[in-house]
Amino acid sequence: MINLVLDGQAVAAEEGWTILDAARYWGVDIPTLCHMDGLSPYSACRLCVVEVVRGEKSRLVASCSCPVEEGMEVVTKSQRVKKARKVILELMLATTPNSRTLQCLASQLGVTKVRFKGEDRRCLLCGLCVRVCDEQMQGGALGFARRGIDREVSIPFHKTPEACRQCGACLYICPVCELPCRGTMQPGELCNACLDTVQIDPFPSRD
Amino acid sequence: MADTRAVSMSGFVAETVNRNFADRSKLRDVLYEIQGKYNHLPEQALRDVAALMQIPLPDVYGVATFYTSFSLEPKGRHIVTVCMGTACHVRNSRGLLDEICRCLGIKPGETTEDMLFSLETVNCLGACAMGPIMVVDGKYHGEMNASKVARVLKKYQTAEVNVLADAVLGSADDLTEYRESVASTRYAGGLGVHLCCGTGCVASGSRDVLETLKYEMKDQGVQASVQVRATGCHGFCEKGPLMLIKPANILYQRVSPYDVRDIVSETLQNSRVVERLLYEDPATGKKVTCRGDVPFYAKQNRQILGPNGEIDPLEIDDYIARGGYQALARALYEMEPGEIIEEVERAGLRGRGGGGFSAARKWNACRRAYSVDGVKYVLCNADEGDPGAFMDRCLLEGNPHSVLEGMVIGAIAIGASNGYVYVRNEYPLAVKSIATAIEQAEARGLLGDDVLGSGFRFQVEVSRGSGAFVSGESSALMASIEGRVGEPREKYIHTAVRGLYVRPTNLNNVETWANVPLIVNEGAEQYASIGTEGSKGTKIFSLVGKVRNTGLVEVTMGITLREIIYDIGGGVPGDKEFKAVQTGGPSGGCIPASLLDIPVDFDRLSEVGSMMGSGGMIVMDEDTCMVDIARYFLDFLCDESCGKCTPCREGLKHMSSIITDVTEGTANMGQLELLEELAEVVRDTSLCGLGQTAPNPVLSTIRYFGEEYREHIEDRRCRAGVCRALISYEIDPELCTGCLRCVKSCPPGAITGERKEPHKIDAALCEKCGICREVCEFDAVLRK
Repeated sequence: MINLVLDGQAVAAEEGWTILDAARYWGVDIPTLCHMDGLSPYSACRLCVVEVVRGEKSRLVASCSCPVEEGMEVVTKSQRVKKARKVILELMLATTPNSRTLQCLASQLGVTKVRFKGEDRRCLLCGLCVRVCDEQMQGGALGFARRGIDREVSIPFHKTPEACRQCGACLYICPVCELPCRGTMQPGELCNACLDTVQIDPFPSRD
Repeated sequence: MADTRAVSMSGFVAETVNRNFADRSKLRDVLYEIQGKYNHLPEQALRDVAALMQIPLPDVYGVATFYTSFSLEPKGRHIVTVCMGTACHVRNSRGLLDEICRCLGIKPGETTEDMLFSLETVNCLGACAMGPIMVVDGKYHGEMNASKVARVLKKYQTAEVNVLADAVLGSADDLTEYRESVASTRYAGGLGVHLCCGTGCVASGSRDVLETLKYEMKDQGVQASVQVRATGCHGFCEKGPLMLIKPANILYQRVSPYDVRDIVSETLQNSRVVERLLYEDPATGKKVTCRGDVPFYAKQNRQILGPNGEIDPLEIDDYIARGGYQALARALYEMEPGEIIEEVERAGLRGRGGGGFSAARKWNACRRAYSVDGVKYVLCNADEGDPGAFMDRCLLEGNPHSVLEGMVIGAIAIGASNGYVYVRNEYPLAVKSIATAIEQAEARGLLGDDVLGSGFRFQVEVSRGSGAFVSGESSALMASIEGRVGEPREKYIHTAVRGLYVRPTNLNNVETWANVPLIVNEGAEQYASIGTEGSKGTKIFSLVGKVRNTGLVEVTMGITLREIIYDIGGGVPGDKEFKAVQTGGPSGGCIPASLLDIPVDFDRLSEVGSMMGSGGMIVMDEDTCMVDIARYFLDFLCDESCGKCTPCREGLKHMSSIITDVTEGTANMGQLELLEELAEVVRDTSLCGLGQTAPNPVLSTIRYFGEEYREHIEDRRCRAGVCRALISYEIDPELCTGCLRCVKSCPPGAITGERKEPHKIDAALCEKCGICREVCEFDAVLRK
């Protein structure tokens, strides 16, 4: 057993758990996007960041892949964490406004405005489809191509690969395939319908 | 037709794959070979590679599209590459690129219709002292400008390879004996000519000088008594090609093939100095004969770089003759692995690659880490992607054995059996030099199954990069060596515990490794006797940009920036005013004039918001716009981000877009606050070091040059005259003599006028390239 402090509470976690595992076990909510149980951790969306305090210093880590350590002090809802999550979500919403998952997260995290120039790219590059295809379906039909801002999920040469059995797992898992509740959104537009209802937090932060 | 080609191609691919044992870590080598033959990567070839090597096709496709060295589109017969590194940028490489685009009628990344030329940009070629640089088919053309472009697009040339003899060294005594035998023939104190053949000097034509020298010596009958060496970089690239006459250490600079006859007849035959080739001190106007007296060299402490000018990098015997591999013998036969680490610990060696982490602690962690099959790796990071930095290139080119020796010593300390040197493919000379060094060291028994007869086994391989800055990050570098996309992963478990192929792996930078033999040879106390409290020894910087003496300098830690820039660098050229110095590459920051007196060491530089980085030092004068520099680095990083994590991929894009608005005068102060907020989040939440340090150039320029940002936004003014949207050109009718020069040289034809009549610029057509201002001899073109 590993002992750590989670949002001020002393809790125990099992060896090999990530911070996210421990938080979920103890009922602390951490928003995630590119994480899914059963798929390898990818730590790319950075929504799940939490603050790990060590003495005077603290730093933000991705809770989905950072293993718990003895004596670790984790804060999941500090101002620094909240601000970081909001900005990251804003960045995602600026490129993919038409995702129900994202619009719901916006309400949940209290994002009410997108301050960045918008466009509609229809992909978050969360890599869920690539991983589900490879790891759960043994398909290996999808991959990433190019890099930086040009990075895309791609089938090689844009031709349907032989490896694809058209099982549909990639569609099922995609967080952008489902339209927001109120239909198509323009870049920069936010639904925010649930803004006042979902902000109930069983473990409110102390700062 | 199509069929026969398909058959031969699949045959070629199969043969190439087999030759590389279908080993995934050789994937990029296979792709290089295919690209070498077909000029691009044909779709069918990639499909064959995937099938034969049993790698999923999306992975092969991902690798082929991730690295900029590979192309899925056919390329032209000649590849024109323009360097967009920082040093070239401050010397107007953008204007050069625009001109080439105009000449060829294509954009970067495109190929001319006749398939003759492909135009590419690269983020730094490491020939910063010669900037701006363009390369045609591997041939460097330095100090380019728009007017030279058309002429240069015709020339090209190739370089040659080297051979070696045999003698296996089976013990420490063998080594000593062998050293005595080679030293007596190689450094007997006789006349010697050491000609710099580093990338900088080769770009200035030192290969031609070498050929002429060989011919001329034969002609005048002096070749027997004089030893000619094509050495690595001497550092003073600004004045290249450089020639050093031994044993008197006479330094000749800017040597051309036409000077060779005089050098042979005067200096080599009659021991007289050729006055006109000597360095002239701009302060006193006096000629300096001896290299040690040249101010550029006088203040340096060249303990790592020193041998560069003395040995032929392609000759292992040169290195051995000068005491090389002595430290290895000591580490093998006189020290325990633990003692080596202790020695390095006491020497206070910190990683020279950027972070400045204690080398000994890293080694220790790797030594203690458990490996399932006992295999551990030692890697050398020579993926020197920082634009404006080229010390790793010079060390590998000029003294590869010192790096190798350091790696073997590290391997002994850690208990590693395999090593890789990961070199940028943009450094062809360095790749050749380290590959030859490995071959020669193996032949001498200094690497391989039985190092110096001790039974210790260590093998090294070269892994060529493929054009991805992020591959210099440790976990990305390891992924790249494994033949995957060079993408970082989370390092909550350190690479010292779980690195290359999930084995404990120790990665150090080229310069760090080169320091190791020195520490073992002279002992920790001696090594730690120079430097500052927290940073010991020396550090190599590439001093480039708007400074008189550009080149590589090695200084004792703790020297001030002012001493480096003014005493060694000779200050800012022209009567321009110094504005800032950028250290640490894209992860570093800009340091203003008010902080020039801080001592240079790891801790002080990070305190002022910059960092040591790998050691690029780019000097900027009043003609450099700090907002433009911040934008330059952001664009660079946007280009080089792997695109995996959101803050780095999206955040940098939006930062770049905000700062572009600032340079175009369309931003407001609110956006500047947003920029700062975004910068902090990117720094806090990015996955790897690239993203975490990416906001540094922006934050440091806002911190020290906030005034310039305000001017851009509120006054719509760029005081350096760089941001094109905020400036305009006009011709002063009083000063204009009507010489027609600007009319003829204006690319868009925006200037009109008759001979002997004042000319006029049509603001609607003007592209603000500034060529008119450069060519005008009467200062009649005004920039507002």
